[in-house]
Amino acid sequence: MSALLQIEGLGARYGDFQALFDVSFEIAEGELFALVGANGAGKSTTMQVLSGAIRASAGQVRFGGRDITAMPDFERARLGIGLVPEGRRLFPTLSVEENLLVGAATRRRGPWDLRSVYAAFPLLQERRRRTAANLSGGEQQMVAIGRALMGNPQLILMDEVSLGLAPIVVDQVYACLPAMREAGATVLLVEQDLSRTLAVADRVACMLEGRLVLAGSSTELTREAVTEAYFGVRARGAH
Amino acid sequence: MTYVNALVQGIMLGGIFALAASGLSLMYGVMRIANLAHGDLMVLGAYVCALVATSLGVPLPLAALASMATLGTAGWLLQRLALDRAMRLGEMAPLLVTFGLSVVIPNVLLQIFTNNSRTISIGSLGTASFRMSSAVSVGWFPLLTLVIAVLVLGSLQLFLQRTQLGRIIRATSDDTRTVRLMGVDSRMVFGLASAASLATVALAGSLYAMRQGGITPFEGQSLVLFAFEAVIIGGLGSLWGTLLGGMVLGIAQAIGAVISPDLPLLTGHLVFLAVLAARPQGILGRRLA
Amino acid sequence: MTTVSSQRAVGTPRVRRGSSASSVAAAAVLALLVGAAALPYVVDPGYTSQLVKLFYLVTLASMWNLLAGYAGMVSIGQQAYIGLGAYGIFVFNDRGVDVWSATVLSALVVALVAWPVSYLAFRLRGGYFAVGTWVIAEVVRLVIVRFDQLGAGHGRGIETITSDPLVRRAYTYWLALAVMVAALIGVYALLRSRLGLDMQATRDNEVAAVSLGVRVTATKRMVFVLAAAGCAAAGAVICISGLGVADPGAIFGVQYSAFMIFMVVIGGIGTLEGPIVGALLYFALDQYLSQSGVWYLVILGVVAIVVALYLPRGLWGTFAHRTGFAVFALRYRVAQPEPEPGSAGRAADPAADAHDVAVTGPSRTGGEHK
Repeated sequence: MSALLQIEGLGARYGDFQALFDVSFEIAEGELFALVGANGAGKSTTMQVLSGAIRASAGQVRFGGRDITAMPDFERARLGIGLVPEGRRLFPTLSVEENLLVGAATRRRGPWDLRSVYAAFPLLQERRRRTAANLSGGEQQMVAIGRALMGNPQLILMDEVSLGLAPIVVDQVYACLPAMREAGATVLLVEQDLSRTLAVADRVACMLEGRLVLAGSSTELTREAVTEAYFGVRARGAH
Repeated sequence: MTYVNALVQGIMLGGIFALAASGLSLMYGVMRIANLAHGDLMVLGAYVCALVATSLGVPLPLAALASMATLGTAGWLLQRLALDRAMRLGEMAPLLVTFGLSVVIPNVLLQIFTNNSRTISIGSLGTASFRMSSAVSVGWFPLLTLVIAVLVLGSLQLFLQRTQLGRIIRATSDDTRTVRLMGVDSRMVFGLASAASLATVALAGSLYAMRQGGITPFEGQSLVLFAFEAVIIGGLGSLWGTLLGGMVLGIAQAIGAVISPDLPLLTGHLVFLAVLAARPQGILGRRLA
Repeated sequence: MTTVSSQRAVGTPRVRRGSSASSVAAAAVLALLVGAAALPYVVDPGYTSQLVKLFYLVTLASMWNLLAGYAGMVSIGQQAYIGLGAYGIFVFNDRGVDVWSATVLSALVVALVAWPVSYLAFRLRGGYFAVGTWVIAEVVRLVIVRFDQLGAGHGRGIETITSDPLVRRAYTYWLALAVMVAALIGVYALLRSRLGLDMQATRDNEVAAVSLGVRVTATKRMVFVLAAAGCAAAGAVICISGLGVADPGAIFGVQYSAFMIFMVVIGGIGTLEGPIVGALLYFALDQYLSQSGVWYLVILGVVAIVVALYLPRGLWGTFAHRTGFAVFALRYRVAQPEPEPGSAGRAADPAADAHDVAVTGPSRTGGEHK
């Protein structure tokens, strides 16, 4: 399988603060790649650099073999990088259906349109006229996923989709994943919750303090190894 | 009763205020820019319309359309060349830029056209009227402007609610950063909103001048106040509220004129201040200014 | 958090407000002021009358800068208070008060008026607030011109004032100078005070300021009232130097707001010296260009737009930012002591950000980022 996304030596900063140091990894087409790490490890920053919301200060991002490091965010979306943002970020004054329709602004062709999204998420069809601001957290998360799908992306970035949701709701969200993968999407999943992530991912990478400290397929990595990398127990002395 | 007549006149005057204010609402709604040059742009639109009509001999409706096209293009350029940059600098910069424009535009017009009224004649349509009752007479042209205002506002509302582009514009207004992540070039949306805003402003200015029989360079200084007042009275975030606000303002001014010829401006402003004091979110408003 | 001094042998960093350069500049300003006060004894009253205009321009510019540059409130309605200050002279002078005392009374009364007005104006924010201030100015004008005792729509003169023109012009000059100095000292003192710190915190990040207990609205209200008083005093000066008001439309005109904005934007918004620089520039342009009629307004407008877009700190502001220099010392600086004994502490590298006093430790794990 070819690499859909290649990241090499990525660095990023917020003013004086360096958030990412020399991050490199690859995602193959059709994979579900999980990026885990504690709060502040740099996972969301990586997502933001990938989606184009912030600029990399160093390194390169290649998508489908093409260098997109300097490409603005909206062009990346049209190129096929879809985002389910951290915190959902639905359009509050728009209805569920309108939020989904805006997702199609990438004007890309593919299996996902309003009908197929409603087929995959019947709950959304029930709620289609409701204003986005009046939805529960779990419902909002589903709308956010549906909205990203409406853009028919090749690569879907899912940023902390379980954040702030009850476990049973998180189960429902994760239940969407098989349908997405079946339709051919490649997924980069960023999460704090280890157990679910390890269960669904093909490959896992762990970040700590802005660096990638562990990477491998979910079958070869043990739960313990990931946990240790997550907390940086082996890494350095205590702070 | 003359007060009933004033009510009717006020409602029709409100149509122009509302049309003028809708451009303001659009710009503020999408870009959070309060365009202080709004009134002067209306006046500019009127001058363009008058120029096209007299020097090119074009019939007035077409001249008004030409004015809309001209100012629409100017709006696009203004946004892309100046206001985009101003928005990135902070909340104050767009205000300073538009205020600067509100000084430049009327003074340039003054230099070119002098302070004498530039006439726009609509011939007999200007005075034609029909009687609704013994006390109330309705001018055909003021009624026409009200109808146009309602049509434009209605179309704008429909466009925003029912079309994909309208949805995208509303989404951009909600959350610019996220809409970009959906593949939307927000700068294009801003440019479009500015163009649409200035096009409606041109129409409002042209109709206003036609109604008056002419236009002078500094009238924009009052018009901008009326437009803002209409928006605040009606409530931010609601186009129909703007129509209502325009009418309330129009009625306030008309009643003031009945009481004494030097009162209309004062009564209008006082009603605005009263609404601001008693119900700051406006009649149909959903959020505070 | 570690401190820098752990590696320095001698002394700890000192936090100071001024630098030696700013002390020199301040002394120079003082000398200038003394010289200015002596002018009526030395030069022709024609010159001092011109300077009266400069002095009230500086006053107005400082007031607008206080509102917008420090408290973040863009007002295009200060002409309400300028006009009220001018008309206040008539009100008090008619009742036997001399015009000089009337200036102070006028300013006080306008401050009292501005207090309730602020409650109304503060219901709006941003651009709508700006327009609201303009509407209020219009209402004030429309109300004032209804009073015949105040000259109605055609203006009026001052009733009782010293008849000797030389004495009158000298007193007017000193009044204008005093008003300007009072305004500048007032703004300087305000900014160095706790209130000033609150204000700047609010300007920079209102949410954070509120969370720290800054009473945002009360602070803004105070600034609003003080700016109104300052503008009223300037308006009084304008009235006295013109021996009355020729046209209420002019004294209540929005062009005063335009001039104030030009001066502050071009001079440097948010600095103390900026409005002065802007006023000087505008004054110079006004002397030479006012004959060219309306084009100079257009030029000013275009320049203001260009400066607002491409040189947002203004002329002085850009210079001060690059060099860290200030005539009126406001910011705290960390003065690093010399490692060798015997030399006095000197100011830190002026190009460094003067308010960056906190020193962070070497290991920073993560932290809030979005």
